[in-house]
Amino acid sequence: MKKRDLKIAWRILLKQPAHSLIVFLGLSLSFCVCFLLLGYAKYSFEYDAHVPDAERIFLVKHRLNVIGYPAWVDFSVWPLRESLEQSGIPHKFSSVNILSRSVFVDSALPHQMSVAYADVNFPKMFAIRTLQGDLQAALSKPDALVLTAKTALTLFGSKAALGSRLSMEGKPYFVGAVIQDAPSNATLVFDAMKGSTEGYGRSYVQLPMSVDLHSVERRLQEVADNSPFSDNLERILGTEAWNSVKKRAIEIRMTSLSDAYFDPDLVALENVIHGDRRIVIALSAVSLLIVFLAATSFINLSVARTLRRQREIGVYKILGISRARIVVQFVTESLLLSLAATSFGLLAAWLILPAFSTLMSRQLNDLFCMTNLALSLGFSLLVGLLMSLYPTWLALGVNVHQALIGRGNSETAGGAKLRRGLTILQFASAMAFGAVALAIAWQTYYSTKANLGFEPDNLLVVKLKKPIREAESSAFRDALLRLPGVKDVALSFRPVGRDAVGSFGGLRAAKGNYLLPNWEGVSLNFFTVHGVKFLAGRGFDPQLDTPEDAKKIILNLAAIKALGFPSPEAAIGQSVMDNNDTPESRQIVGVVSDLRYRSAHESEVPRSFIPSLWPATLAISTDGKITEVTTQIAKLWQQHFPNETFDINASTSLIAQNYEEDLRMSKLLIIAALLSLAIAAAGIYVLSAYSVQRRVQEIAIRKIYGAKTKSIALLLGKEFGLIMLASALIGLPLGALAISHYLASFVERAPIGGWTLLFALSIALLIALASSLRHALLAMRISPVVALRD
Amino acid sequence: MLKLKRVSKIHLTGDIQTTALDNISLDISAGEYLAITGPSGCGKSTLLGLIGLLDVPNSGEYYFEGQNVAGYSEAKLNLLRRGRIGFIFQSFNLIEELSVFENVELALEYTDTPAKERRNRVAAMLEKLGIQHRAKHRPSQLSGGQQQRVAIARALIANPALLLADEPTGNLDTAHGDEVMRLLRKINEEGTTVVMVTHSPAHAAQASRTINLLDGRIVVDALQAA
Repeated sequence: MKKRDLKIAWRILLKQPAHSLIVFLGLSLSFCVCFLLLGYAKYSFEYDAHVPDAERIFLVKHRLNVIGYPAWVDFSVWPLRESLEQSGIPHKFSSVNILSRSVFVDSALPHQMSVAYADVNFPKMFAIRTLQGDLQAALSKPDALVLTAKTALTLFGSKAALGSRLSMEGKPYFVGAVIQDAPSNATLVFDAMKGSTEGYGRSYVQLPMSVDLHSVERRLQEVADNSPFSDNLERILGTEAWNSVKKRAIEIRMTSLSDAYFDPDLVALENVIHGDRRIVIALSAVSLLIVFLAATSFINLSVARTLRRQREIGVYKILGISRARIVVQFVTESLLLSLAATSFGLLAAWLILPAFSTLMSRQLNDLFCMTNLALSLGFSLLVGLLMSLYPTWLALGVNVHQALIGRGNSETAGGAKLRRGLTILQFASAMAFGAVALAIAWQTYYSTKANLGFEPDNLLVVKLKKPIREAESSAFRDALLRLPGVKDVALSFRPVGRDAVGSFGGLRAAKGNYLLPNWEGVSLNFFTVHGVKFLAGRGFDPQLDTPEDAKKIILNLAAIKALGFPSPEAAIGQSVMDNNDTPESRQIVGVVSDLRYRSAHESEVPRSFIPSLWPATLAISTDGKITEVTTQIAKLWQQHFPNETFDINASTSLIAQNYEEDLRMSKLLIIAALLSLAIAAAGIYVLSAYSVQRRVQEIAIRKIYGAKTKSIALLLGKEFGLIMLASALIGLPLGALAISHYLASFVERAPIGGWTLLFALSIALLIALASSLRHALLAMRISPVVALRD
Repeated sequence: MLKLKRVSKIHLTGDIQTTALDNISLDISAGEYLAITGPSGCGKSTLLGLIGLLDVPNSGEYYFEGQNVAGYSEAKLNLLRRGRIGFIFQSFNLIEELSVFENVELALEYTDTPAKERRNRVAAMLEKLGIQHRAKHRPSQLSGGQQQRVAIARALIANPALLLADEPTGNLDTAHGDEVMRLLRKINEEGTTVVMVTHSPAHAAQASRTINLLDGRIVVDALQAA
C-alpha cells in the first residue's frame, strides 16, 4: 500500500461527498450497534468465566413437586451437605445466601447492600482475592464483615476501611477484610460478605474430573427419596397428595457454574441474574445482519463508481500497472472507509454505552477492554476486505480498449441484478424487523393491561420483614392508614402480578378431584382493595368472617375447574377438605376469575385464598398521587424500621417486570428496524442517483419521442416498485413467521392480525419514496437537448 | 415548413454567457435537404436543437408548421414534436438495456399506435433497413454501421415530416458513412425534409442546400446542384 493509494482513496470518497457521507454514517452506526450487541453477547457467554474450574463447580437445584407451583429453586430445602458427606463422593461443598441489608456508617442514612452469608469454603472455590486483611479469619468471626473494594470506597471514601466500624440489623461490626471486586458478569453479585455456618441459600459442589456428574445426581436423588425429609413430607401431605406427585417430593439436578447464567430452569426465580441464550444468539445475528446491510450500501456505491472509473482503470493497465496494484488500490479504498467507520462507530458506542447498559439491565462498563477493541479492529479489516471483493473483481475485468474509447461504462446484467438484490435485502430486513418489533411491543402492552383480573392502577406494594400478626408490622399498617393519600391497605403472602414458590397443602372437593393449589393467605379486604370482581358468591366480610377464619375459602376459576365443579355458582356453599396435617373442612364462599399472578406466557394455576394474619406483603390503595404517597411511606418506614431495607413498587411495575425481556427485545428490534430502514433509505438514495445518471441519455431520448413527465416518473417508479414488491414478498412472510413463533410462547395472545406487517410495509414504502424522490424529480426535469451532447 | 426570424440563443454556465446563435433567420421548405456546416463551437448543434424543438430561443420567432413556438413550454414542444420529427445522433444514443426491436419501438411508445400495429411497423422498418436479423440483439452487440441503421429506423418509424441528423457519420468508417448518406438521400427523395449537421464537405455536398455557420451567424447560404 502506497501513499498514492490512500490519496486516491480519499479523493474518491470526497468526489461525491453526500453519497460517501450517507454510506459512511450507515456503516458507522452499524459498527456501533454490532460492537454493543456482540460485546453484550461476549459478556453474556463469559458469565463466571473469572472463576477457575467453573465447569466443575455445580449449583444444586431442587424442585418441590408437592406445591401448587412446582418450580426449580436455587436453594436447598433439605440437608444436602450432610447427604453429600455421607455419600462418599469426592467433592468440595460451599453454601452462600445473598440477602439485602441496611448498613450504617456513622450516619442516620442507611446504605442498602447485598450481603453474602457464606461458609469458609466459598472464597477458595470462587477464587476470591483478598486485598487487605485476613479473609478466612474475618469469615470465622461473628462480628466481622468483608467488603468489596467498591463498597469500601463507597462507605469510607479515601479513609482506610480495614478495622473500621459499622452496624447492620442493629448489631455492630468491624471490617475484617477487603476483597477484589468481582466482574459484573457474575451470577453471584454482592457488596459484602459475612461468615455463616447455617447452610441456607445456594449450594455449590465442586467435583474432580474423575467424577461423573450424572452419577452424583442419581446418588443425591436416591438419598433425597429415602431421606427422613421425604418421609416427613409424605406424612404431612397424606397418601393422596403423595401419590399425585408419584412419590417423589423433591427432584435434584446440578448445573455447572459456566451454564448457570443461561439455565432456563432458573428463569422464574426473583433476584437471580439470568439470560436467555436464544435471545443473545438472535441479537448477535441481528447485529451481523445490520453490518451486512450497511456493507451492501458501500458495495452498491463502490460498484457504481468502479463502472464510471473504467477509463481510469484502462489507463492504469496501459501504463503497465500490475493486477496486484489495482487490487491494492481498491482494497485500500474499502479499508479506509471501513476503518474510519469503525472508529466513528466505536466513539458512538462509547457515548451511548450508559443508555445501552440501562436498556440491557447489565453493567457493561468493561466492554471497551483491549481484547474487544482488538477484535473490533480485526472485524473492521475483515469487513473492509469482503466489501472490496466485488468492486475489485469488476475493476480487474475492465477491457482496456473498450474503456479508452468510451464504450466500457455499461453495467452487466448480473451486476445490476446483484445491486438490486442487495437493496431488496435491505428493505426486506427493515420490514421484517419493524413488523416483529411492533408485534412484541403490542403483545407486551396487551399483557400488562388485559385480563389481569384486578385493577393495579394506584396500587403500591411494600414487603414487610415480619407477618402482620407481629405488633410492629400491624403498627406500621395502622400508621399507613392514617397517611393522606392512602385509601386502604390489604395483605397477602405475595403481590398479585408476581408469582413465587407456594406453600404446601392439597384440596379436595366432596365428590371432586384432588389438587395442589397455590395457597394465598390474605386480609379480609384483599379483594376490595384489588378491585376484584366475583364470578359467584362474595369476598371476605369483616361482619361474617374473622382474620384467621379457617372455615372459609375463596377459589379462583382454575381451582373450581380442577376440582370438578360444573360452574362457579355450583361451588358456592360447598365444602372442600384441605389435606394438611390436621385436615379441615372449608366452605367455599366466593369464586373469582383468575387473577394474573404469572406472565401471559403461562397459564394461571389453581389458587385458594384464605383469611390469614401471616402475610407480610402490603398492597396500598392510593388516591393516584403515587410519587407523593411513596415519599410519605418512605419516611414512615424510616421511623418504624430504621434498620431494614425499604422495598416499594407500584403494582404496575411489578407486572411489567414479567415482561422485561420482551420489552427489551422490542426496543432492540425497533432500533434494528430504524437502523435497517436508514441503511435501506441510504441504499435506495444512492441506487436512484446512479440509476438516473445511467439513464440520462435514455430519458432525454424518451422525451424527444414524446414521453411526458408522468411517463418518466412511472419508468423510474417501476424499477423501485419492483424492488419494494420483492422486498415485501421476502420480508413480510419472514416477519409473519417470527411473530407467529413469538406469540406461540404466550397463553394470552393479543389480537394482532396483520396490522404490524401492513404498518411496516407502509413505512418502508414511504421511506423508499422519500429517498428516491429527489432523483426522480431531477430525472423528470432532464431536458431533451441533453441527447445532443455526447 | 420552418421559419426562424432573428433567433438568438445564449448559454449560461455559472456567470459566463455564451452567444451560441446570433440573430439567425432561416426558412426551410418541406422536402428540402439542408446541410449545416461550420467549425466546432459555431452553434450547429444548438441550431439543430432549436429546429428540432428540443430547446427554445432566448429571442426571435420560430414558426414550426405555421405556429410560433418560441414561448412554448417543454410539454407543448413534446406534443408538437411527437411523430413529426425524427433524430439521428453521432453517438447513436441507443439504449443499451433495450434490444434493437425495443429501441426502434420506443419512438412509437408515446403515440396512440396500438401495440400490434407498433410491432408490425417495427418489423417492417427493420427489414427495410436490413437489420431484422439483429432484432433481439443489444446495441453493444452490433457494429457502428448497424447501430446507426437502428438509430435511423427509430428516427423514421413514426413517418416524421422532418428528419434531423447531427453528425450521423461522425463515428463511422467511410464505407458505413457512405451507406448512411445514401439512406438519407433516399429518405429525402421519398419526401421527408432532412436537416443534417456535418463536418464533412463531401457529405455536405450531397445536400440540396448548404448553410455555413460561424460564431453563431449564417455566413453562407447556398443552393447546390443536384
